[in-house]
Amino acid sequence: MKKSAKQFSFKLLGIYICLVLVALFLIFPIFWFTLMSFKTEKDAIAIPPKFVFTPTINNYKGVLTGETVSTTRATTKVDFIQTFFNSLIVCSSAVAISLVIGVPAAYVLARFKFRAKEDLAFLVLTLWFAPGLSVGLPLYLIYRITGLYDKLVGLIIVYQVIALPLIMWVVRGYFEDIPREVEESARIDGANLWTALTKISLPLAAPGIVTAAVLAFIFCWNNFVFGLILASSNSKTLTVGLLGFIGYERVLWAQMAAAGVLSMIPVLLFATLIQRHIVRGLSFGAVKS
Amino acid sequence: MRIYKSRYIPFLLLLPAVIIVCGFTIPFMVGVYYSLLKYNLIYAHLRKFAGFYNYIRMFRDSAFWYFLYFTGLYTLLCVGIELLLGLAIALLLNKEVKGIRFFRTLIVFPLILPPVLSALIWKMMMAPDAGVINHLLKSIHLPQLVWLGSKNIVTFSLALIDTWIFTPFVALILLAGLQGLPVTCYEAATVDGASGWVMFKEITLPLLTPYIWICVLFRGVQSLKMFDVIYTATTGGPGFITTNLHIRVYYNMFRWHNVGLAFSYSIILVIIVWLFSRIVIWRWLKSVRAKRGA
Repeated sequence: MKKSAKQFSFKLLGIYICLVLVALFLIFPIFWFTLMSFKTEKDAIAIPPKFVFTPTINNYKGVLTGETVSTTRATTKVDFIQTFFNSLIVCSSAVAISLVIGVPAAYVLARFKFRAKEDLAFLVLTLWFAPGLSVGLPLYLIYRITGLYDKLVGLIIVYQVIALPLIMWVVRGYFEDIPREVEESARIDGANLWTALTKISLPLAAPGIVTAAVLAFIFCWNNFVFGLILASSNSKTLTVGLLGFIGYERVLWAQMAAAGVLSMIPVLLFATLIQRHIVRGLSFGAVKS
Repeated sequence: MRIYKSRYIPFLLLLPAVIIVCGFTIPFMVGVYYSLLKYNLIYAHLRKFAGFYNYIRMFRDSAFWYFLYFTGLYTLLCVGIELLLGLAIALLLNKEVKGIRFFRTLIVFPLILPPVLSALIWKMMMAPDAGVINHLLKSIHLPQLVWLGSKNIVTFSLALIDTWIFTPFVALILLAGLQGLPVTCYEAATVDGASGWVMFKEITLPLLTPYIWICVLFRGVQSLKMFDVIYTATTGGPGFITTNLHIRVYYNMFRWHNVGLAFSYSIILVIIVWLFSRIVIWRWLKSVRAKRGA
């Protein structure tokens, strides 16, 4: 089927126009927001909004040093650095623990047959689908009694709900991809269980494990509800801290924008790492790309 | 096939995970227990077991039915729009034009940001006077709207924010599905003289069905229990217009300190989410088997 040169280029142009429109729609808010982080508070809430302005890094300075730039007497002091490190500690620890627990479990689910296997797998999935407050509210009461409230450890425990199912399901899929013959021939060659696991299966499943770990970290980082309910001034997470810029009297928009930009950086860095596997991870292994 | 002679090793490897997962069913049972109590934190000394008192009170309250309706409406809106838009974007991204890889990487951005942050960004943009959306609308002589303050369009605005965040998810899943489609089917159909639209309806759509069910599962469950976006953008809306069941649980507990009622809402939400996920997973499995048969 031959198309004339003129028809062909219109279709191509149409495709590119649509792509650019979609890209604009998805990226403009992030761009605008980043722009706002370099404005002064006055410029940030200017009516009409300013596209041209003199940039300043005062917002970043203020956010990083913990001083709120304000002119009123009652200010909302937000300790961004602490919330950042709270999130970092909680998310890393939670993911590390769920890796230690989840990867062996994923291996067992991939390789062995037993009666309650699929029931267990779906129980794990149901746990991940559970509404945050349904798990968090009872824990709020329990934590207050047991003294785990507003402690990082308490958050690390709860975050297993987010990280463990993801790791179990995604890594299971990657283990299932490894043909049994590879492990069997290693066993025939004299390797024992530990060697077969660590020298054969783990390296082969490594991309999947990294994908699952990074995605689990991202989901933990982005979580809001658990930090809202189970933490207070001591162990507040980053997402909750972002809302702290909204005080009763005024909102520090430009500083909030700076804090937001800073909080984007870890997840963006991590996401670029697992580019190729991201669809498989996000769909819990249901979609192999 | 048994690779390892020892029977105990797999059991031990699995045990910690089983302990944790079963451990987390305890909060649910605690929740059920508390939902059967008449317990308000302010009148803590009056706490007592009351059976289904909270549930009856909840079902008799017309506000509950509104929250249920809004939960369903929000889910329907979000999933519906995102499926349509996501499919269109997936079809677009499936074209092998120069630079397409750049665009495929780009669309991941909104998806990996914290939803709270995305909602904050949109809240800023949707501000009536200082927001950039109204400013842009004004400059092309379109009417400006009170995006998050007007009871008529606030639901739509929330759906817009949700769409912005999660359409890339649908698009990526469906794109993976599109890229896995067998070319031979299309070649045979073209030989038989099928038009583009017929090919789409009879080949593409049926083969994409499992992927569509995956999207419905994940986006449906997330929308039913959506908290972050709604809390950040409208905290339940002007009045209670954009309050869904999950948000209501929060307010029952931390605004009115009604522990019993909070948990009864929570249990109802759990049941709804669980039923939804069972049904959709069942439909997904069915579509996967049908596809294998075809």
